[in-house]
Amino acid sequence: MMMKRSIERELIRQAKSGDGRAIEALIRAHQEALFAFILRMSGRPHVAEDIVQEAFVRVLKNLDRFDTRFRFSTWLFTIAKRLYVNASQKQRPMYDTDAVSIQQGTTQAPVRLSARAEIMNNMRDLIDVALGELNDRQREIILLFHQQNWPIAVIARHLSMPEGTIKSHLHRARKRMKRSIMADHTLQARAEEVWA
Amino acid sequence: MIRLPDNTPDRHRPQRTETATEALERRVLQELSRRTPSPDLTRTIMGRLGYMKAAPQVVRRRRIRRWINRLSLCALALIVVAGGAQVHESGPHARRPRGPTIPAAIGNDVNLHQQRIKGTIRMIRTLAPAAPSRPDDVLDEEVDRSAIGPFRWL
Repeated sequence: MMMKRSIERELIRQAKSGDGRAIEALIRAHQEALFAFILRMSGRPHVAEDIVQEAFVRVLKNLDRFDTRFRFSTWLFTIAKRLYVNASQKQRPMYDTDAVSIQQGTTQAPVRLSARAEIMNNMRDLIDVALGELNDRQREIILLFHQQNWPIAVIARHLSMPEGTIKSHLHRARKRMKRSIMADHTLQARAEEVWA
Repeated sequence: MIRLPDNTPDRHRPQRTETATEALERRVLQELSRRTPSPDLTRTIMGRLGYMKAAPQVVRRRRIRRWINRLSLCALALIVVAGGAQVHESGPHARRPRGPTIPAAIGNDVNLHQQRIKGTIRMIRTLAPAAPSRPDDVLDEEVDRSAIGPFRWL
Protein backbone atom coordinates (compact mmCIF):
# COMPACT_ATOMS: atom_id res chain seq x y z
CA MET A 1 0.00 0.00 0.00
CA MET A 2 1.54 3.27 -1.11
CA MET A 3 1.59 6.13 1.33
CA LYS A 4 0.18 9.52 0.31
CA ARG A 5 2.96 11.85 -0.82
CA SER A 6 1.95 14.63 1.55
CA ILE A 7 2.03 12.23 4.52
CA GLU A 8 5.32 10.80 3.33
CA ARG A 9 6.87 14.27 3.03
CA GLU A 10 5.70 15.20 6.49
CA LEU A 11 7.11 11.98 7.94
CA ILE A 12 10.43 12.59 6.21
CA ARG A 13 10.54 16.15 7.58
CA GLN A 14 9.92 14.84 11.10
CA ALA A 15 12.37 11.97 10.66
CA LYS A 16 15.05 14.45 9.55
CA SER A 17 14.64 16.25 12.85
CA GLY A 18 15.19 12.94 14.67
CA ASP A 19 11.59 11.98 15.47
CA GLY A 20 11.71 8.26 16.28
CA ARG A 21 8.00 7.75 15.66
CA ALA A 22 8.24 9.18 12.14
CA ILE A 23 11.20 6.91 11.40
CA GLU A 24 9.26 3.93 12.70
CA ALA A 25 6.27 4.85 10.52
CA LEU A 26 8.49 5.07 7.43
CA ILE A 27 9.99 1.65 8.16
CA ARG A 28 6.58 0.07 8.75
CA ALA A 29 5.18 1.59 5.56
CA HIS A 30 7.91 0.27 3.28
CA GLN A 31 9.48 -2.82 4.82
CA GLU A 32 6.95 -5.31 3.48
CA ALA A 33 7.16 -4.18 -0.14
CA LEU A 34 10.93 -3.98 -0.05
CA PHE A 35 11.25 -7.39 1.58
CA ALA A 36 8.94 -8.98 -1.00
CA PHE A 37 10.95 -7.40 -3.81
CA ILE A 38 14.37 -8.45 -2.51
CA LEU A 39 13.08 -11.91 -1.57
CA ARG A 40 11.96 -12.46 -5.15
CA MET A 41 15.22 -11.02 -6.48
CA SER A 42 17.50 -13.09 -4.28
CA GLY A 43 15.37 -16.14 -3.52
CA ARG A 44 16.84 -16.27 0.00
CA PRO A 45 14.88 -14.93 2.98
CA HIS A 46 17.92 -14.32 5.21
CA VAL A 47 19.68 -12.38 2.43
CA ALA A 48 16.51 -10.36 1.86
CA GLU A 49 16.27 -9.61 5.59
CA ASP A 50 19.88 -8.41 5.76
CA ILE A 51 19.52 -6.24 2.68
CA VAL A 52 16.27 -4.66 3.87
CA GLN A 53 17.83 -3.82 7.24
CA GLU A 54 20.96 -2.38 5.71
CA ALA A 55 19.02 -0.38 3.11
CA PHE A 56 16.82 1.23 5.78
CA VAL A 57 19.82 2.04 7.99
CA ARG A 58 21.68 3.69 5.11
CA VAL A 59 18.68 5.61 3.84
CA LEU A 60 17.61 6.86 7.27
CA LYS A 61 21.15 7.87 8.21
CA ASN A 62 21.43 9.93 5.04
CA LEU A 63 17.94 11.38 5.10
CA ASP A 64 19.37 14.91 4.82
CA ARG A 65 20.47 14.09 1.30
CA PHE A 66 16.99 13.00 0.22
CA ASP A 67 15.41 15.11 -2.50
CA THR A 68 11.70 15.44 -1.66
CA ARG A 69 10.83 15.81 -5.35
CA PHE A 70 11.22 12.02 -5.64
CA ARG A 71 9.42 9.19 -3.91
CA PHE A 72 11.01 7.79 -0.79
CA SER A 73 10.33 4.25 -2.05
CA THR A 74 12.27 4.90 -5.27
CA TRP A 75 15.34 5.95 -3.29
CA LEU A 76 14.97 3.07 -0.87
CA PHE A 77 14.64 0.53 -3.69
CA THR A 78 17.69 1.99 -5.45
CA ILE A 79 19.85 1.57 -2.34
CA ALA A 80 18.47 -1.92 -1.72
CA LYS A 81 19.11 -2.89 -5.32
CA ARG A 82 22.75 -1.76 -5.02
CA LEU A 83 23.15 -3.78 -1.85
CA TYR A 84 21.58 -6.77 -3.58
CA VAL A 85 24.01 -6.45 -6.52
CA ASN A 86 26.94 -6.37 -4.08
CA ALA A 87 25.59 -9.39 -2.21
CA SER A 88 24.89 -11.35 -5.38
CA GLN A 89 28.47 -10.84 -6.52
CA LYS A 90 29.41 -12.95 -3.53
CA GLN A 91 26.75 -15.60 -4.04
CA ARG A 92 24.42 -16.30 -6.96
CA PRO A 93 20.67 -16.05 -6.35
CA MET A 94 19.20 -19.46 -5.62
CA TYR A 95 15.50 -20.14 -5.62
CA ASP A 96 14.76 -22.02 -2.49
CA THR A 97 11.06 -22.69 -3.02
CA ASP A 98 10.55 -24.04 0.48
CA ALA A 99 12.14 -20.98 2.04
CA VAL A 100 10.02 -18.62 -0.05
CA SER A 101 6.89 -20.64 0.75
CA ILE A 102 7.63 -20.50 4.46
CA GLN A 103 8.08 -16.75 4.12
CA GLN A 104 4.74 -16.54 2.36
CA GLY A 105 3.06 -18.17 5.33
CA THR A 106 2.29 -21.67 4.08
CA THR A 107 4.63 -24.12 5.72
CA GLN A 108 4.08 -27.84 5.22
CA ALA A 109 1.96 -28.44 8.28
CA PRO A 110 1.49 -32.00 9.53
CA VAL A 111 -2.17 -31.81 8.61
CA ARG A 112 -2.96 -32.56 5.01
CA LEU A 113 -2.78 -29.47 2.84
CA SER A 114 -6.03 -28.39 1.36
CA ALA A 115 -6.40 -28.57 -2.41
CA ARG A 116 -6.33 -24.78 -2.55
CA ALA A 117 -3.04 -24.58 -0.62
CA GLU A 118 -1.55 -27.25 -2.85
CA ILE A 119 -2.51 -25.29 -5.93
CA MET A 120 -0.97 -22.16 -4.41
CA ASN A 121 2.24 -24.07 -3.73
CA ASN A 122 2.31 -25.22 -7.33
CA MET A 123 1.79 -21.65 -8.39
CA ARG A 124 4.73 -20.51 -6.29
CA ASP A 125 6.90 -23.21 -7.80
CA LEU A 126 5.93 -21.94 -11.22
CA ILE A 127 6.84 -18.38 -10.27
CA ASP A 128 10.16 -19.40 -8.77
CA VAL A 129 11.17 -21.40 -11.82
CA ALA A 130 9.98 -18.72 -14.20
CA LEU A 131 11.75 -15.91 -12.31
CA GLY A 132 14.89 -17.99 -12.06
CA GLU A 133 15.05 -18.05 -15.86
CA LEU A 134 15.22 -14.27 -16.10
CA ASN A 135 18.30 -12.13 -15.90
CA ASP A 136 18.62 -9.60 -13.09
CA ARG A 137 17.36 -6.66 -15.17
CA GLN A 138 14.29 -8.50 -16.46
CA ARG A 139 13.49 -9.88 -13.01
CA GLU A 140 13.74 -6.42 -11.51
CA ILE A 141 11.41 -4.90 -14.11
CA ILE A 142 8.88 -7.75 -13.80
CA LEU A 143 8.86 -7.38 -10.02
CA LEU A 144 8.59 -3.60 -10.04
CA PHE A 145 5.71 -3.73 -12.49
CA HIS A 146 3.77 -6.79 -11.38
CA GLN A 147 4.70 -7.08 -7.72
CA GLN A 148 5.14 -3.47 -6.69
CA ASN A 149 2.62 -2.10 -9.20
CA TRP A 150 4.90 0.76 -10.22
CA PRO A 151 3.85 2.55 -13.40
CA ILE A 152 6.10 2.17 -16.47
CA ALA A 153 7.10 5.86 -16.26
CA VAL A 154 8.29 5.48 -12.65
CA ILE A 155 10.25 2.32 -13.47
CA ALA A 156 11.83 4.09 -16.43
CA ARG A 157 12.90 7.01 -14.23
CA HIS A 158 14.10 4.66 -11.50
CA LEU A 159 16.26 2.63 -13.90
CA SER A 160 17.22 5.63 -16.08
CA MET A 161 15.85 3.96 -19.19
CA PRO A 162 13.37 5.05 -21.86
CA GLU A 163 9.82 3.82 -21.35
CA GLY A 164 9.97 1.88 -24.62
CA THR A 165 12.96 -0.12 -23.36
CA ILE A 166 11.11 -0.97 -20.17
CA LYS A 167 8.12 -2.17 -22.18
CA SER A 168 10.28 -4.34 -24.41
CA HIS A 169 12.08 -5.78 -21.36
CA LEU A 170 8.69 -6.57 -19.83
CA HIS A 171 7.50 -8.22 -23.02
CA ARG A 172 10.66 -10.33 -23.37
CA ALA A 173 10.63 -11.28 -19.71
CA ARG A 174 7.02 -12.46 -19.83
CA LYS A 175 7.74 -14.45 -22.99
CA ARG A 176 10.72 -16.07 -21.34
CA MET A 177 8.74 -16.93 -18.21
CA LYS A 178 6.00 -18.51 -20.31
CA ARG A 179 8.53 -20.48 -22.34
CA SER A 180 10.26 -21.78 -19.23
CA ILE A 181 6.95 -23.00 -17.76
CA MET A 182 5.83 -24.61 -20.99
CA ALA A 183 9.21 -26.22 -21.71
CA ASP A 184 9.09 -28.37 -18.58
CA HIS A 185 6.56 -31.21 -18.63
CA THR A 186 6.22 -31.36 -14.86
CA LEU A 187 5.66 -27.64 -14.68
CA GLN A 188 3.23 -27.81 -17.55
CA ALA A 189 1.24 -30.45 -15.69
CA ARG A 190 1.25 -28.27 -12.59
CA ALA A 191 0.20 -25.31 -14.66
CA GLU A 192 -2.75 -27.26 -16.03
CA GLU A 193 -3.60 -28.31 -12.50
CA VAL A 194 -3.51 -24.69 -11.44
CA TRP A 195 -5.69 -23.74 -14.34
CA ALA A 196 -8.13 -26.64 -13.98
CA MET B 1 -13.65 -18.09 -15.51
CA ILE B 2 -11.69 -17.41 -12.33
CA ARG B 3 -13.13 -14.68 -10.16
CA LEU B 4 -10.52 -12.00 -9.45
CA PRO B 5 -10.41 -10.12 -6.16
CA ASP B 6 -11.87 -6.62 -6.23
CA ASN B 7 -8.51 -4.95 -5.62
CA THR B 8 -6.88 -6.63 -8.65
CA PRO B 9 -5.14 -3.93 -10.70
CA ASP B 10 -6.42 -3.42 -14.25
CA ARG B 11 -3.16 -4.71 -15.66
CA HIS B 12 -4.05 -8.14 -14.26
CA ARG B 13 -7.57 -8.26 -15.67
CA PRO B 14 -8.15 -10.08 -18.94
CA GLN B 15 -8.71 -7.72 -21.86
CA ARG B 16 -10.38 -10.25 -24.21
CA THR B 17 -11.13 -13.94 -24.43
CA GLU B 18 -7.80 -15.48 -23.54
CA THR B 19 -6.17 -18.80 -24.27
CA ALA B 20 -5.26 -21.23 -21.48
CA THR B 21 -1.59 -20.22 -21.71
CA GLU B 22 -2.41 -16.54 -21.53
CA ALA B 23 -4.65 -17.14 -18.56
CA LEU B 24 -1.92 -19.07 -16.81
CA GLU B 25 0.58 -16.32 -17.51
CA ARG B 26 -1.81 -13.75 -16.14
CA ARG B 27 -2.39 -15.82 -13.01
CA VAL B 28 1.34 -16.25 -12.48
CA LEU B 29 1.87 -12.51 -12.74
CA GLN B 30 -1.15 -11.85 -10.56
CA GLU B 31 0.26 -14.21 -7.95
CA LEU B 32 3.40 -12.10 -7.95
CA SER B 33 1.50 -9.07 -6.73
CA ARG B 34 0.04 -11.05 -3.82
CA ARG B 35 0.99 -9.63 -0.43
CA THR B 36 4.06 -11.32 1.05
CA PRO B 37 4.24 -11.17 4.85
CA SER B 38 7.64 -9.97 5.96
CA PRO B 39 9.36 -10.30 9.32
CA ASP B 40 9.02 -7.13 11.39
CA LEU B 41 12.43 -5.50 11.19
CA THR B 42 11.38 -2.22 12.80
CA ARG B 43 12.97 -2.91 16.20
CA THR B 44 16.24 -4.11 14.69
CA ILE B 45 16.52 -1.13 12.36
CA MET B 46 15.56 1.35 15.09
CA GLY B 47 18.13 -0.29 17.34
CA ARG B 48 20.82 0.05 14.71
CA LEU B 49 19.90 3.70 14.28
CA GLY B 50 20.30 4.22 18.02
CA TYR B 51 16.64 4.71 18.90
CA MET B 52 16.29 1.75 21.26
CA LYS B 53 17.04 2.32 24.92
CA ALA B 54 19.65 0.00 26.43
CA ALA B 55 20.35 -0.85 30.10
CA PRO B 56 22.94 1.45 31.80
CA GLN B 57 25.36 -1.48 32.26
CA VAL B 58 25.14 -2.29 28.57
CA VAL B 59 25.68 1.36 27.68
CA ARG B 60 28.73 1.52 30.00
CA ARG B 61 30.14 -1.73 28.60
CA ARG B 62 29.64 -0.50 25.05
CA ARG B 63 31.29 2.84 25.87
CA ILE B 64 34.33 1.11 27.41
CA ARG B 65 34.59 -1.24 24.47
CA ARG B 66 34.37 1.72 22.09
CA TRP B 67 37.20 3.54 23.89
CA ILE B 68 39.34 0.39 24.00
CA ASN B 69 38.81 -0.03 20.28
CA ARG B 70 39.75 3.58 19.60
CA LEU B 71 42.87 3.43 21.77
CA SER B 72 44.02 0.15 20.30
CA LEU B 73 43.47 1.56 16.84
CA CYS B 74 45.59 4.62 17.72
CA ALA B 75 48.32 2.42 19.22
CA LEU B 76 48.28 0.23 16.17
CA ALA B 77 48.54 3.25 13.88
CA LEU B 78 51.48 4.61 15.92
CA ILE B 79 53.29 1.26 15.81
CA VAL B 80 52.77 1.02 12.08
CA VAL B 81 54.04 4.58 11.49
CA ALA B 82 57.06 4.10 13.78
CA GLY B 83 57.89 0.76 12.21
CA GLY B 84 57.54 2.24 8.75
CA ALA B 85 59.83 5.15 9.65
CA GLN B 86 62.38 2.77 11.12
CA VAL B 87 62.37 0.58 8.03
CA HIS B 88 62.63 3.63 5.81
CA GLU B 89 65.54 5.11 7.78
CA SER B 90 67.48 1.88 7.68
CA GLY B 91 66.79 1.33 4.00
CA PRO B 92 68.94 2.50 1.07
CA HIS B 93 66.38 5.04 -0.06
CA ALA B 94 66.56 7.15 3.09
CA ARG B 95 67.88 10.67 2.42
CA ARG B 96 70.87 11.42 4.59
CA PRO B 97 72.46 14.90 5.10
CA ARG B 98 75.91 15.49 3.59
CA GLY B 99 77.43 17.57 6.39
CA PRO B 100 77.04 17.17 10.14
CA THR B 101 73.49 17.57 11.44
CA ILE B 102 72.53 19.86 14.30
CA PRO B 103 72.04 17.01 16.81
CA ALA B 104 75.40 15.52 15.78
CA ALA B 105 77.12 18.92 16.14
CA ILE B 106 75.62 19.42 19.60
CA GLY B 107 76.69 15.90 20.55
CA ASN B 108 80.24 16.55 19.39
CA ASP B 109 80.36 19.82 21.26
CA VAL B 110 79.15 18.15 24.47
CA ASN B 111 81.78 15.42 24.05
CA LEU B 112 84.52 17.97 23.52
CA HIS B 113 83.55 19.88 26.64
CA GLN B 114 83.36 16.65 28.57
CA GLN B 115 86.90 15.77 27.50
CA ARG B 116 88.17 19.23 28.47
CA ILE B 117 86.55 19.04 31.90
CA LYS B 118 87.99 15.58 32.43
CA GLY B 119 91.45 16.88 31.48
CA THR B 120 91.16 19.77 33.93
CA ILE B 121 90.08 17.43 36.72
CA ARG B 122 93.01 15.13 35.97
CA MET B 123 95.40 18.09 36.07
CA ILE B 124 94.01 19.27 39.43
CA ARG B 125 94.45 15.77 40.83
CA THR B 126 98.12 15.75 39.87
CA LEU B 127 98.68 19.03 41.70
CA ALA B 128 97.14 17.73 44.95
CA PRO B 129 99.50 16.13 47.59
CA ALA B 130 99.88 12.40 47.40
CA ALA B 131 97.76 10.33 49.76
CA PRO B 132 99.54 8.35 52.52
CA SER B 133 101.00 5.13 51.23
CA ARG B 134 99.80 3.19 54.30
CA PRO B 135 96.53 3.44 56.16
CA ASP B 136 96.50 5.03 59.64
CA ASP B 137 95.81 1.84 61.56
CA VAL B 138 99.04 0.22 60.40
CA LEU B 139 101.37 3.15 61.40
CA ASP B 140 104.09 2.45 64.02
CA GLU B 141 103.33 3.25 67.60
CA GLU B 142 106.29 5.61 68.01
CA VAL B 143 105.30 7.79 65.08
CA ASP B 144 103.99 11.12 66.24
CA ARG B 145 100.46 11.23 64.87
CA SER B 146 100.38 15.00 64.89
CA ALA B 147 103.33 14.93 62.45
CA ILE B 148 101.16 13.33 59.82
CA GLY B 149 99.25 15.87 57.89
CA PRO B 150 99.76 18.56 55.34
CA PHE B 151 100.54 21.25 57.93
CA ARG B 152 103.55 19.46 59.45
CA TRP B 153 106.06 20.89 57.03
CA LEU B 154 104.56 24.29 56.61
